[in-house]
Amino acid sequence: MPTDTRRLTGPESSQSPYNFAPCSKLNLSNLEKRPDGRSFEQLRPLFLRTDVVSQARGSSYIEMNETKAICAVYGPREVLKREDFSLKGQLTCDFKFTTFSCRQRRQHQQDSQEKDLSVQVLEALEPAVCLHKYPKSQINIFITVLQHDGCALSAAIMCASLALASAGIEMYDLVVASSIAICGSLTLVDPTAQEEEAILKSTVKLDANAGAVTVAFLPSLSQVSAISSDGELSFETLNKNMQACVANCQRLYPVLERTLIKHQQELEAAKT
Amino acid sequence: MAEQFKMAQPKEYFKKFLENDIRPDDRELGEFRPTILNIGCVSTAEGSALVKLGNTTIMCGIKAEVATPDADRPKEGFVVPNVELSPLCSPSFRPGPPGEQAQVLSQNMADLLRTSECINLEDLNICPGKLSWVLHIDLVCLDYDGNVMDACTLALVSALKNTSLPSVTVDEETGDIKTDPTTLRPLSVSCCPVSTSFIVFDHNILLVDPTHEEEKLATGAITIIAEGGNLVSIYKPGGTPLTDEQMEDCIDRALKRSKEASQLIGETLCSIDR
Repeated sequence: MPTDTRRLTGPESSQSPYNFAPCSKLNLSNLEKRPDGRSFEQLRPLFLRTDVVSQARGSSYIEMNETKAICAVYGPREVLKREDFSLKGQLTCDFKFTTFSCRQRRQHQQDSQEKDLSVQVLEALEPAVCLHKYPKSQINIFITVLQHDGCALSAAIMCASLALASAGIEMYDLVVASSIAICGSLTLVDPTAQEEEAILKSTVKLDANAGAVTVAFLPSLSQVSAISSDGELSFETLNKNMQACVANCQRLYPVLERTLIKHQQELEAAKT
Repeated sequence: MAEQFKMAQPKEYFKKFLENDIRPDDRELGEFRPTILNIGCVSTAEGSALVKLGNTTIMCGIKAEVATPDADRPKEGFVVPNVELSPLCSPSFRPGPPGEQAQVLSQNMADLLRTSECINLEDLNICPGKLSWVLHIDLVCLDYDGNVMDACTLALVSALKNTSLPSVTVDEETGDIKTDPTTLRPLSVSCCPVSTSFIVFDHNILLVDPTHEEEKLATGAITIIAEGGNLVSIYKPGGTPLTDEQMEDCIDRALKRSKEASQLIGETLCSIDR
């Protein structure tokens, strides 16, 4: 690995002390109650706030219990490279976990998972933004996950769509996202990091059904903008859980709506 | 009208305010912005703190890892501070490796830790020559509205005071490492250095805790780091030279501020149950 000359570096190799601790694994086969006391189909409470970054055109903060993310939107601004000329506006997305956001420390540079998530968030948002209204310009979205406890993708999508809306970027609809983890006959709505990890690492063959689905949904148009499915799922299971995700998205939509209305009211109040 | 005037003639705009000894955000020349401190907000980190100085927001998270100590310092651990001025916090930063300003801030944080001796590196040793703690201290800027240095030091010290490490033992014979996550030991932090930054406006007026707009108009800057009633270091990167009286005034105010800030950290630490 090339050394980073622009950052202060510690010893060449170091590892988490928890690698040497007896690991307490979540047993999924006879789970009666979820570790945080929720029922299987219960969502975590959603907290949203806009206007958290004073320097940005639009910004928002999302909190789903222990999953916390912040998003800032800049633009529309000029495209600096001349070759990138396009009559349609460009949307860029930069997704980053802070180094201390996960159980294992992350690196400063964007890793492959973060790049993958950047693209997924971008693809979920693009159908909702009226890009033809912003010719020759780009809109930049920056998302930083401050603490990761599962469902980082859905949190990032909701946070970014709210930030775009609060920046006054013209959109067809807000984007709401929700996730379900599946392990055999067990379905866990809005899984935590511990649950996600347990399903990913479950070695027992459970009818080949183990994975997770995330759906991004445009509620007032009733259109799905992105689906992401990990692991091995049968067609019926995938279909059933996608519908459950859409239903959950519809339940979350009023929270986003209310936050946006509050943002607009504050804006009006500041004017007068 | 005021908006246009500010855009076209930012310096004149500021002068009009300063003639009446007040700043555009209703502050007096020597007044700090409201300081908000949230300690222990990230449970995945061993220690964390969020600092808001007006709009400026800094989050500090400390991740502890274990590593083999340096051969020439077998009884010492490591502290690795890094400041990240991400493109999220201001339109002037672009994605990519840290810029000059972030590098300078990181080095300032490292110097602060070294010169104030608030952490004894020998406390971070687990087994001499075999295993030591590495404290990765990462400071992320979430909103860049001036005076990032003061916010960084405050976040750094608060997060250090919040840090607890699990007990790790090394088996003498086999060399096996064992961690007991249930017993946590708080990190001992011997002092509480606080930095206070000033800018010089128009070669003679001193402003404390500058916003980003004020920093852009500054002709000089000075940062004083104090601990309790003592001076730790002074950092003056060029700019307008200051007179003796101005220096003394700065030091006096920095000493007062350091007492207030350490009291705030103490009160916040008491109010959280960790």
